[in-house]
Amino acid sequence: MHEFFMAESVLRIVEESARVHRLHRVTGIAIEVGELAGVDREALRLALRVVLTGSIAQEARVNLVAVPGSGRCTGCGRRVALARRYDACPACGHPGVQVTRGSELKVLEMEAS
Amino acid sequence: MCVTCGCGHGVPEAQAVRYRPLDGQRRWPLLATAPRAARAGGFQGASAQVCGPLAMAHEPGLGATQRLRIEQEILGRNNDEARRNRAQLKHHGIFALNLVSSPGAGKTTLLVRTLAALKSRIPAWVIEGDQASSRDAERIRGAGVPAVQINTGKGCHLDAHRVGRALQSLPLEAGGVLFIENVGNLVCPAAFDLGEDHKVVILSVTEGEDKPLKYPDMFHAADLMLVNKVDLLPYVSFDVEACIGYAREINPHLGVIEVSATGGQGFSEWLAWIEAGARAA
Repeated sequence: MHEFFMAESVLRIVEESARVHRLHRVTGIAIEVGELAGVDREALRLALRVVLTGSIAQEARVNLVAVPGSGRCTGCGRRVALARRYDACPACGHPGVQVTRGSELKVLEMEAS
Repeated sequence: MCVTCGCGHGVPEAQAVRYRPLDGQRRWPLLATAPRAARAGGFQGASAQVCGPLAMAHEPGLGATQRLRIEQEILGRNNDEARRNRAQLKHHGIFALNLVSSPGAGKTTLLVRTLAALKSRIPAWVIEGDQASSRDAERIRGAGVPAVQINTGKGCHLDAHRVGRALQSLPLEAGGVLFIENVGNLVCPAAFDLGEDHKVVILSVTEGEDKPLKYPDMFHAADLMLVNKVDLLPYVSFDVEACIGYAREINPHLGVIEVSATGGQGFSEWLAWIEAGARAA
């Protein structure tokens, strides 16, 4: 899985922001992880623990914010909740649901001094 | 007072305590980059560098915790580099394909046969991704086509940055076709745009026909599926129609060509698809 790449990318974003704001110790990181983004939250947490060790964010609290999947059915037009990306519309059974939420993979904010 | 190094910054000058680095060197012991004030030759007019009792580097204003809104895509940098690769390829009029499959689906054999048929008609180049070794690039060069090998090491996929670097070492010219043979993996390469025109997923009949349902992200990301090793169909229980049905449940717009990289079945259709793409690029 590519959670290690994601974790390295999170560290790069955090280090860059800290450098720009002239901060030296990162104490918290909030990351938005969509439930349809294909990223396992536990694997990401483990990868972050390894990747952040020895960095300016070594002691940072990591908050992984889950975003439930949802979309609009191209058949019946309704907004529906989606547990998996390619599921048929739970309302009408149509196979084409346009995903609108749940693909997020984003560093939202950080706390640093 | 500065809470990190205890140097006394923020208290009246008379009470401030200044520390020198313990080893007497003009460098900051713990931080890789010294604060700008120190690099500029001192802090608050002092000629000595300022360090706290714990040998921590000091910076004015340090200590207050700040909350920063970041809002940055984790894959943002890869996507930016993929856009740059795509722009570069488009500028040269090159048609780029990202070949993805499980290990052993026959990507390299398929590529060698494809190149043998194409190379006299259009320029072609190959970027080979594998965890280790340059065996595949050597096979491609053996077919008379320039190839660059990327070893991903611990990585499970190619990323746009590595592909961008590989592009610089290939003798690209207008109107050709670039094949990027990704690492054999049906999971991770789906999430990484490399700047290609299309992902082509290769599924062989010696695998399960329900793979599109088990690895849906890849079949959703692809524009064309090659069902390979069809010459073995008499010997395996693989339902081609069911496989195509599963794949189109995930991706209704997926094109499908049935081929055999060893026997050559379906190659005229596959080559025609490539040449049509190359003409349009």
